[in-house]
Order: sequence, then C-alpha cells, then structure tokens
Amino acid sequence: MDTLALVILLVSLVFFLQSMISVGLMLYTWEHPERMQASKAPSTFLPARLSFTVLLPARHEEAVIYQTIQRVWRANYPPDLLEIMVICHADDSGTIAEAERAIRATGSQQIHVATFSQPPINKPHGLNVGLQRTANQVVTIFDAEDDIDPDIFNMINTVMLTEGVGIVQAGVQLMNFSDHWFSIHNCMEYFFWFKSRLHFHAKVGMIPLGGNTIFVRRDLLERVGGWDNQCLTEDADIGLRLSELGEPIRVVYDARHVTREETPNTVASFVRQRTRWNQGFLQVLWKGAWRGLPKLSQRLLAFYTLSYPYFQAILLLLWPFTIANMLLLKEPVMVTMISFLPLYALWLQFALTVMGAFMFTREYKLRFTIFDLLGMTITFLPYQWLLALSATRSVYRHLNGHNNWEKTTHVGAHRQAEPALNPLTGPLQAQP
Amino acid sequence: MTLNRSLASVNTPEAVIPPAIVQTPITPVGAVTDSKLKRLLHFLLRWETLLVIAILAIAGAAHGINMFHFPYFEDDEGTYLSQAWAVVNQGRLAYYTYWYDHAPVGWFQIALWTLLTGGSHTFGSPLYSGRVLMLIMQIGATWMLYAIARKISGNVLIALVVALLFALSPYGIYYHRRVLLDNITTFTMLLSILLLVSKRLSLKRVWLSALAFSIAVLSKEITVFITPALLYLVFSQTDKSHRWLATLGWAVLFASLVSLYPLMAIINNELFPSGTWLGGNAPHVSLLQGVLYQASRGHDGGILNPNSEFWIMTRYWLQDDPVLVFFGTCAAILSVLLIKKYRVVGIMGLCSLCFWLYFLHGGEVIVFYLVPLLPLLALNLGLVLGILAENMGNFLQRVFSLQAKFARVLQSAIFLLCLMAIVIPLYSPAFNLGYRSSDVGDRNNPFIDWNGTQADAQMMAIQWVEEHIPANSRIVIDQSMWPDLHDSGHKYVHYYWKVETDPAIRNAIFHNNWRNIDYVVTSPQMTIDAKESDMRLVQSIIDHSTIIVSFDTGGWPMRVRKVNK
Repeated sequence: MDTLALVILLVSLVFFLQSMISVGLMLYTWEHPERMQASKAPSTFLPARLSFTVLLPARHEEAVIYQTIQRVWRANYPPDLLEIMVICHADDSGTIAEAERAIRATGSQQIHVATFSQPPINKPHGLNVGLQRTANQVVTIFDAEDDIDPDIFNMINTVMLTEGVGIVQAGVQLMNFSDHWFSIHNCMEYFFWFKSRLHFHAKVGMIPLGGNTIFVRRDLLERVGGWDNQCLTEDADIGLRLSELGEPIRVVYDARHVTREETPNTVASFVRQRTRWNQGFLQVLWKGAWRGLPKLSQRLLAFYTLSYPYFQAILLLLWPFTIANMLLLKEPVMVTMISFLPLYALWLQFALTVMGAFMFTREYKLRFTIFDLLGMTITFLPYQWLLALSATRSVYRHLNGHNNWEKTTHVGAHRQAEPALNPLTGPLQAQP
Repeated sequence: MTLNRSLASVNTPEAVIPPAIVQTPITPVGAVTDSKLKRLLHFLLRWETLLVIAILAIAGAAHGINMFHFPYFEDDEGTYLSQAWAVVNQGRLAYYTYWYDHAPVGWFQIALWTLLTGGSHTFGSPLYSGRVLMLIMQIGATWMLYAIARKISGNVLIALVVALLFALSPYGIYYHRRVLLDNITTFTMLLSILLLVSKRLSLKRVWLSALAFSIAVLSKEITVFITPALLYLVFSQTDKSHRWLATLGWAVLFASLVSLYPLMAIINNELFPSGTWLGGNAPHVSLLQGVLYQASRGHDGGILNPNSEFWIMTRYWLQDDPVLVFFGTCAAILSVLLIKKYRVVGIMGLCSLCFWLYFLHGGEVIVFYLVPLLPLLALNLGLVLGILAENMGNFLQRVFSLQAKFARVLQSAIFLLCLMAIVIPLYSPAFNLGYRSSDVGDRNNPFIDWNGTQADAQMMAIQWVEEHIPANSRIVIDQSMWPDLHDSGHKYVHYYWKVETDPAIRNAIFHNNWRNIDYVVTSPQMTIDAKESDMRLVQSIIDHSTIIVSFDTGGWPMRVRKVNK
C-alpha cells in the first residue's frame, strides 16, 4: 500500500472515530430510562435554605439589562436570601444607568452595581470583581440576555441539599430556532450539550462549565482562586479547575427550569462568538492545567473536548478531498470505502440532530413544520462549514496572539410582549 | 473579606427531606433478600446451565456426526469457499468476475474463519473446513434460539423444546450441514433478535442489533423481509423515553450499513448497467443488473398457481419437516392473532409470516429458502403451545380448584402432551415424512443423516483426479471440486456454469470450442443443468467424452470423463 493510501486510511479512521464519539456523547442520556430520569430536576422543592449571590456581568446591554434584573428579582425565592450584583466597566454609562433604574424600580436593598476600571475589559474580570464584593453561600452567574426560570433557585436549593453537591450546572437553551438559517442548528447544539453531553462529563469528572446558570458554592470558587482574567472561555477553564478538586458535579436539564437565551442575530456575530469559544478552548488546552486531572479518562476527555477546534477546522476539508479521491485518484476500493466513513458519521450526526429537533420542539411545545425540517436539511452542511470557518479563524487568531474579547450584541429577540413568556411555569407576577 | 459560610452548617438533621424527592434506587428485577431463596435461585441457575450444555451437545451431535459424508457437497458450497479463497489470497471479491449475485459479507465470514483456523486445509479439504464452520454456527444458533425462547416465555421447558425442535429438524440437519449463505445469515439474524428481546433495552443493544442484522442482510438478502417486524420489536421493547430515538436510530443505522454495498458498487463504477447513460459503454457487471435479475426470476403466480415453485417447494418442505412447516406456520398465524395480548410472541409470528409472504408472491423459491425461517417456526410453535398450555392449565385449575403449585406442573404436562400429539404421529413409519422423506431422508433408513456416505464419491473423484490427471489439464467441473483441485495445483479447472456463460472463460480461455477441454467430471447436477438450461457447450463437451472412472457411494454418482479430441 503506498504512502498516500496509508495517510488517507489513518486520517479517515481518526476522524471517523472522533465523530462517532461525538455521536455517542449526544446519545448518552437516552441510553436507559433511569439515566434520563436522573438528568432531570426534582418535582417538588424543599423550603428555601441556601443563600444565593447572582452575578450579572454586563457590557453595552442597555436593551436588555432592565428586564433581566426584574426577572431575577421576581424569582420565587425569599428576597433576603438573594443578593444580586451587576458588574460593569466604569465607562459603560448606558448599562449602568439602566441597571440603576431597575434597582430603583424594585426598591430592593439587595441589588447593587459594581464597576471596575482596570483592564482587561472582559467577563472573567467582571466576575472576579463581583465575587469579591458579595457574600452569600452559592454563587451563580446569569448573562444579561438570559430569561431565567422563576423557580431556578428553589430547584438548585433542593438539588444541593438533597444530593449534597456543591457544583450544579443547570440547563441553558436557545429558543429562537426559526429566526435565522443557522438558529435551529445552534439550538440543537445547546439541546444535546446540556441534555446529554455535559452529563457524561459530570460522570467522568471533567466538565467544561457553561458561562451562566452555573451554581457553585463560594468556598469552592475561592479554593480555585476565581476566574482566569486572561481566558476567553473562563467558564471552561474554571470548570476544569473545579473538576480537579474532585468534587461531585451535577448537571440538571429540565424543560421547566432552563434559562432561555437567544442565538446571535447575524452570521458575523455567530462566527465571532464561536471563534471566541474555540480560541478559549485552545487557550485552556495549551495552558495544560487539564494534565493535572487525576484519572486518565478525565485527561483523555479533556484533551478530546479541548482539541475539538483543530479537528473541526480540518474535518470539512476532508469532504471535497474524499469526493476528489473517489473520482480522480485510484486508491484501492477498501481505502476509498474507509475514506467515506467520516461522511457516514456526519450523516448519522445529521439524522440524530433531526430527531433531536423533534424531541426539542415536543418538549417545549413548539411547532416544527415540514418547512423547518427542509430548511434544517439544507442548512446542515453550511452550518458545519460555518463551524469549521470559526474553528479555522480561532486557530489563526490563537497562533497570532489575538486574544481580545469580541463581544456579542443582544437584542432580546427571544423576549415577547409582556407578561407571559414561559408557558411552562405559568404567568409571571404582575408588572409594575 | 465578608462572611464565609459554607454548606456544612446547613446539613443539620432538621433539614427534612420529603420522600417524593429522594430517588429510590431501582431494585433490579428479581432482587432477592432472603438468603435461602437466593441459594435456591443459584442452584436452579446452575441446573439450567447444565441443561443448556446438554442441549448444545445434542445439537452438535445431531449436526456433526457424519457431516463430512452426508449430504453430498453442492456446487454452491464450492462457490462460496472459492470466493472466500479469493478474498484471502487475491484480495478480490470472487475468483470469477463478481457479478453482484449476492452481497459478499457471507463469504467474508468464511474467509475470516479460514484465517482464524490457520488456513482452509486445517480439517482436510476446504469443504470440511466450511462444514465445521457450519457446525459451529449451528450450535451458536441453537443456543441463541434457546435464549430467545427463554427470554420471551420465561420458561425453561418451552425454551428446551424450541431448541430441540430446531436442532433435530430433519430438514435442518440436512441443510444446516451445507456451506450455504442461508446458514450464515441465520446466525446473525438470530443474534439481532436476541439482542432485542431483553426486557429493559438499552440503546447500545439496539445499535448492536442493527449492526448484526445488517450483517445478516449483507450475507443473504432474503432476511431483509423481516425488517418491518424487527422495527416493530424495537418500538415495542423500548421505554417511552427513548422509543422513537431507538426505532428511527435502528432504521438509520441499518440502512447506512447496508448502503456500504451499493457504495462499493459505485466506487467500482458498477452500479448502473453498461449501455445506460450513467453506466458507460464498456461492458461490465452491475449491481442494478444483479438486483433486477434476481427480482425477475421465475414469476409464476405464487400461491394462486398450484403448479408454482412456491407450491412445489412447500410440498417438499411439508415432507421434510411437517411439524415445523405446518404446525409452526399455524402457530405463527395464531401468534399474530394474539398479538394484542402477547406482543413479542406476536412479533415473532410476524417475522415468520414476512418470510412466507415473500415465498408466496410468485417469485423464485429455492429449496433452501426455508433455512432462515426454520428457527422462527420452532419458536412460534413452542411459544404458542406454551400459551395454550398456560391458559388451559389455568382454566382447569380454576374448574377443579387445584392448588397453585400444581398449576405449573399441569401446564407443563399439557404442553408436553400437545407436543407429543403433534410429533409422534407425523414421524411414524407409516408416513414417509421427516427422516423418512425421499427428499432429505430415506424411506428405509431414517438414520441416513448419520450413516449415509453420499459425499464420499465426490472425495474419491477429487482424489482420483489429483493422482491421475496432469496438473495442467483443462477440466470442466462441478464447483464443489474447485477448492481442493485448485489448491492441489490444478489451475485450469473451471466451473461448468462459467464455462457456458462467462465470456472471460468461455471465449477468452476455451475459445468456445469443446476441443479445448481435456476432461470433464460430471455430477448429477451438471448433467441435469446441461439439459434443462440448454447448455450447448457443456453438453457438447459431455457428448464428446467417454467415462474413464465412476464413483457412487449413495446416489450422487461422479463420473470422470476424458474428452475425445
């Protein structure tokens, strides 16, 4: 067998394996009914006991911050056990003004705005500032555009008390699946990530945490020294360091309690966001902290997860190459067949994503029409190319040291007219 | 730094946890706490293991004893062994041009077997090696059938009877010995069913089942007809939380794996027939042509035409194994009628009926098509008799107010009585059925499976050719002689079908002239085919030759003929 054939063979097998692992992770929760049941939230709540600190880092979020503060404040939880800290950079006068307007409207003593003026101007810095200036037992983060569930604190309180865990990642779900051509795929990524893949990570003990709706006991955060100011994905990074502590981690995905978010509203902003995430992963990968994880399975999973941008960047270059190989090069039949395996894995991913779309819309009582299905089919590959583009861009930026934070703008696209937004948990309390 | 309260202070005894929230650990099915009961269970399990070993020993003996000598080696056996040889030694799909008659996974398994056993001559002739593989597959299939029956019925007696009905079937013993794709496909078909009948299915088992079933279909396409029944089985056995995912996933995985076969054809530019727009003009075999050919064979009205192949074969099958073919099919029909109450039993009945529907639609029906259906019929019969016995037993128990512990004995007794009422009369010497049928047995010798010597003539002919005919002679043979003769140095032996119909052999090698052949070794199959299929070249070869030696050890005479040039 000549060298080219051998190279094709090895590369194809590696990518096939990598994609099939991804498919396997997507299917993790559905394996048996018990596992599915264990991934959900409790149905009844314990009386409120734990106190929560809510960190709301915000930058140029004038459009949404008012409503967000209102929603957090109106959560079904004793107000004296809740403390909310909005964190802004000192020059962000628009957001600060809106936040203070919201605070005046609620009339609460427990909501404050904290500002900082030192660089770097990014989320982890804001979070560290907020962490230092607050005191409650469990620290959580929400993003400025989040729509949280009013019972989220009750749910986390119950989970933490009954199961004795100090780290809980609750579900985040993108909802606006028909707004843009890429939205449904973005929503499906979140769906599989929070419903299935993260649970596997929690079981193994190596978890890249989400950027919001994450609940961590204060002492654990202090033990790992807070967030990394320089990292583009401070959430994955802190997740890794928390994993190293060996503490049990619980992931909860329950349609009744997910935090609802929106997809980026243009392709450009999507690419920027995804580039940031990929670049962050690469930063965490090269930082090497994951090598300190105790078990081999954890280190392997960490390596697999963090090096994904590299794979994604190369994966779709394989596509035209395989077709060209079949038509032009004349490799032995066996080699050509094996070079098709990554495409099969991609097809399986597609089939699974379509099934996921039906499960998702059924769970959230949304309508999924035949046109949605057709659109999803046509846009699947373009979405993969978009991901590959972002991954390539991230590798490029990483190699050239461009580490500034490219901000995503939020317009509150998933928010509808007041009052009722969340049909599953009933109407919110009356607006002022 | 502000107060640093931890959770530790919160976990005081007073934090009462309402019972609704605590997730009670799910006790495994049949978890026993009483130690005496545990020991009894342990003993029973051991007892059952011994029973299973005994059943497998019986199956092995019934199949294995005398398997090298009876029945005769059919030319298909030589074909599949030669194709496995080509895979191992030439890296090709077949020795002759692969013409997409069957997907190659069947002989891939034979090739794998050859590699695992250190070559095809480990047991003597490659034909013997192939038959040893069939023995192993038969033992495996019997075990799987036992396990399937056991899981569905929960009853050891039913499982035992199903396994023995299968292992001792007269049709079964005759055809399972032969190296046929049908035997190979039955093995993975049963595996795919077994994986689906456990009560709490996990997704991994569903995927493994799809994988096993795709191997079965790519070994011999005929198994594809039970796909709808298997999909229904996946759907009914999986929990609501992952039901659709499992069912659609099984279908997608199965279709994807099977698609590797047309993919291979596409890569070889052999999907579309030559002469079509997509097929190009160079003459070549094609997958579509192969499929169309198979689909077009023998359309004759099927069940509606009393002289159709379906009825001819069914009459043979009824002779060969009346218990399974007749009563098993009745049981299959009854199972489907009972499907609402006994779901899985009904689905097993559906599997059988899927095969029957294919047979009776009017296409070609070859005598060994019954092979994959046979274990399903045994399963149907055993399960339905069990249901009848259970219901009758419960009825009698109520009517006569018997104690509960007698119920099981009563049910078993009814079960066995019904079984014997079916089997014993049919196998009496008065009828020539089963072991006494003219087709797979012998009227005067019901033990012919274990003392017949039909195939010896073929081995003797092979040996004679190896010793007396020069290695570079051109010989036309029945393909069952090919594996031995080719390996012993006779490189110019060719299968009579290829001599007649394959241009690469007929024209390129023999120039369409009987004078270019030195010898021909006829089998009854060859002489019949030459006349019935109007094989002019082969017939002329036979006509222009004289017999130099003849072997006949049981009704399958082999005649070595020298061509008079």
